[in-house]
Amino acid sequence: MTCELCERMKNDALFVSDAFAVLLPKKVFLPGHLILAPRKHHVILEELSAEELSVLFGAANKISSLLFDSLQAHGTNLLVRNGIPAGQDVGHIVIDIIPRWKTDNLNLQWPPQQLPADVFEKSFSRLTAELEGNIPGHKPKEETYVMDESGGITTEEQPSPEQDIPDSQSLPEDTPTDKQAKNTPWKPPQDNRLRHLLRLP
Amino acid sequence: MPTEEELEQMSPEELAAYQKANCLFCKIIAKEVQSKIVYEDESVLCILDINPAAPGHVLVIPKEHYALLPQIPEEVMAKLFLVAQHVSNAMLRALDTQGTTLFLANGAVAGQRSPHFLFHVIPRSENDNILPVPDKQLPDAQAQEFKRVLPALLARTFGQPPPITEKKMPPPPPNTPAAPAPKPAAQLTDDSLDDIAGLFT
Repeated sequence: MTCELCERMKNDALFVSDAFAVLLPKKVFLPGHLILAPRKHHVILEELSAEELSVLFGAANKISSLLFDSLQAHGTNLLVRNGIPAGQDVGHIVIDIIPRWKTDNLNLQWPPQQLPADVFEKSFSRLTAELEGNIPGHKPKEETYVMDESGGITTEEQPSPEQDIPDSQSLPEDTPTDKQAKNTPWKPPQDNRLRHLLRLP
Repeated sequence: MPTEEELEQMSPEELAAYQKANCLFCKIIAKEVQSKIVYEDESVLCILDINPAAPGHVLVIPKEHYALLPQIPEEVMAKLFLVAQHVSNAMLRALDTQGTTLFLANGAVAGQRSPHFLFHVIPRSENDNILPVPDKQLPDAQAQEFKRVLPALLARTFGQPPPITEKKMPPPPPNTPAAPAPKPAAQLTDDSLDDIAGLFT
């Protein structure tokens, strides 16, 4: 399976470095909207290593400043659409960099909500439990999904790092042990991320 | 409380100091104002948005007061996005969500509402109508203009030559004068900047 974006990096990019590429998106919010993608094929945000993240967002910030200056923008938005429900439309993670003007008529504001107290509390306790002990010192948590060479996805209840993660470069050298996961009282569904990964074009 | 006139007469430094002293998020960080903290370390605080776009909507906030992304030192930025990745990961694991959005706004026109830079991580579900997706086709003339001007600007920003997409020239044989350099894809002149800025005026 070839990735459309990996292909476009070869001859349709505005700029390519070892770590990232800058391209014009196929559909834009506004003229001047650019996309920034890691050179290495990663499908979702969670696959990026700490170093890749740092380089990518550092570059996003510089491109955002470039748009400010060269397009005389009044502001910029950076957007990551991570997964199908978030509007991800290509199976390669990208950062949208969007210049904004006072009169651009683009509305990127969501309607604020007042949640019922129990819903609010539930999201709070689940998130804190999941983040507890997961100190960014800072390695991504062990992956619960893998993609094989052909783009297919396999998963197991308890993946062993060596067998199930062929693409070891996308992970830091030492991943956290299972201890943390076992200490977490609430067991998350294993296939949450698979659902959207499988459906990416 | 200074009057609007007094505010206008402040130097940028005074204004920054004033904003910092009156910043809601600095008060939240100092625990003078209560909030729902889902994650905290020495440089980053993550709290639940009290008017969320969806249950579990998190604000990732640098503890130091910065107004805009470009003011943030590289190492702090790296940490912020690493934490954001963890938060996104935690949402996929702990909440019933199959995608996340990272949303950053630089400047009021982009939707920045607080003088303390922060960004949003929002759990997403199908048809939640939280954010639109890009849907406009960039007119061909504009696309060509961006392709003409942006490679050189990006190369200047990242300190690398523009990517060579044309056919590679064979190396000149020894002892012959080098062939005249091919015309660069885009000359960096004020004209080209004016051209591209002109697209929006």
